[in-house]
Amino acid sequence: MSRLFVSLVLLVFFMQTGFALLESGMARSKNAVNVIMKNYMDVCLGSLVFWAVGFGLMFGLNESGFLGMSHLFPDFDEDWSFTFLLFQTMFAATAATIASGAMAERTRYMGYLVGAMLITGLIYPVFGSWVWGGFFGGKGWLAELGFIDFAGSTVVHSVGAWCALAGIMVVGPRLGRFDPVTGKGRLIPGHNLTIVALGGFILWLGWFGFNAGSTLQGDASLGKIALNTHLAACAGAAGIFLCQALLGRPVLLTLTINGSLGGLVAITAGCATMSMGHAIVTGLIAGVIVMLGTLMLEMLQLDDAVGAIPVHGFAGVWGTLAAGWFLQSDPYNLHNLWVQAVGCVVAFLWAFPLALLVYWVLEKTIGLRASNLQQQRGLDFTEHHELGYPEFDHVRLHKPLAQ
Amino acid sequence: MEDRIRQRRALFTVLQQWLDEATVLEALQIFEEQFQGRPTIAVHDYLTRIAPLYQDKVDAKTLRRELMQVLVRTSQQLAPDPLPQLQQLRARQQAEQRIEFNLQPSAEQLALHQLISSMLQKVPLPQRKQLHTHIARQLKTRFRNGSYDQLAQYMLAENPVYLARFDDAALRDFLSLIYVAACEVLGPVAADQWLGAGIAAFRASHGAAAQAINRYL
Repeated sequence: MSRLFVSLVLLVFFMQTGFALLESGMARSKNAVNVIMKNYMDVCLGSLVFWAVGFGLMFGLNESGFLGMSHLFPDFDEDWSFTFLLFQTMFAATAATIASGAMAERTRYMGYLVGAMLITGLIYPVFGSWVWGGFFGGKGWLAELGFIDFAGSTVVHSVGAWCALAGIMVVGPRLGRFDPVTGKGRLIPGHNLTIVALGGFILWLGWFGFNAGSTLQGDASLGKIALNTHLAACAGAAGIFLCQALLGRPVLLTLTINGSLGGLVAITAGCATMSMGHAIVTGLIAGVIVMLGTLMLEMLQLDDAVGAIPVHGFAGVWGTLAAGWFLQSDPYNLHNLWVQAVGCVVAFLWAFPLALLVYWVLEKTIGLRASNLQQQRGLDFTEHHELGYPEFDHVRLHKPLAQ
Repeated sequence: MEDRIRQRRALFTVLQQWLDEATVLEALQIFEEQFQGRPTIAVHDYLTRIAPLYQDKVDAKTLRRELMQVLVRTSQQLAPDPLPQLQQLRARQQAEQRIEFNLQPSAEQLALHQLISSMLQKVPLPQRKQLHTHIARQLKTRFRNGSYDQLAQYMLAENPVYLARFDDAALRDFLSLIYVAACEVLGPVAADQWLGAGIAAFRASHGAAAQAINRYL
């Protein structure tokens, strides 16, 4: 059992590769290394912080229902707890890394990393304790209400997305992203759509581990969970394809992949408690939501470089509501829907203002937004002093590295 | 004549409440050169024009209200005419300008001038006009105390002599500012290609001398 579970954990870890490739491919070549580095260090620092404080806050003894109060710097007697901690660490890293894509191409490395550590060490685990808390005794207050979030549409994805929303509001849009006269958004295409697609496929693969692993047991339900996950992803891509086709818009690779990711995020909450038909409906609507959400952010002049907020935030909210509405044992129950809605609102009210404060303080202290010169040169050069494509990139906007 | 002196004294009375003397004189100089003799309503345009000088200390609405109140005061209630200080400032600037025009741009500054000039020529005319407008707007907010005028003059005259008084950091900032304006007018992708192609072409055509621009990139 433990062997199977660790294999699923490895799949969740592999999702970080997917995030890194997807986000890096959607950035311009001058920022490719920076995006990869942020994803890489999200895992490294996030894991350490989550081990030190996050795990205890989230899963420690939770008698009040609001916060875990034990297992800081944890050590265990029981073997299973090590596996559980490893699995939850991968989840925490996922929540933190969502912001990196949204804030890509104009965020300073140091400021971003401090923000990511605060997400992993405070914002994510405190909300998590309200829903999943009490592994070592007690129960979170939202769980007591009957809130269902099987693998984290809200706990992991929406919370990450609301932090990302706060981040892009503080850091502002990339230079020239919106026309200063008309206010219309300008497309900034990524430098490598092939690795975007590869990243999308890897995330999809990793999601099987993400959702199936959340059963915390190796029983027959794994097959249903994995199948629901797969169907929702397919439906998400189909939903966005239909939207683009019906509206006569070009069928973009990036949006299609985001559609399937939206489907995956949405099914995460209810993958164990929904029928296959409902999983397909959930994914299909998530795809539509991702497309509308992307358009809405553009209208509001919020620059989400990879579409992380529609995918993880808006689709996450929809998926959480769908988990209550399509609950197989008690479908179309308004009370369930109400509880789910409360959970979504609470997630926003907790994560967004706090992340806004965190990023605002970071901007005022160590600095979050890259200067114009840094954006001109590219963050690979200014933050890391190395280039992603030294031999092939002919558009150099900075002095040679040797100087 | 009487109106002109009165407006100048009123402005001096109001502005010195929030701004230091050098900034007040810079603001008054703009009034003298571009706004004097125009009707009182031109005060609105004037306050917009000098906004970069005061906007971090006081908002335009307060300043305008204060100015309207001071304009109707009696002569005894106004500060003395700042004309002597303005004359001293003008004399000092003229002396500095004579010194500045004796300055010759360095080889690196000439290289930067050639780079900027060749890049601007590659922008289609309507967009070049927009680019100039954006650059002028950025210059007003970033470069103060006369340096704005020098760079604005440079953009108009395309004369590298105007670059001679600036150090490397200021010129790097200036090139970055042109890039920002290009991002706004041309879009970020086209701006990257425009600057990248400009630098590549300059390096290809100037051989070893092209290294001179590295300090500004």
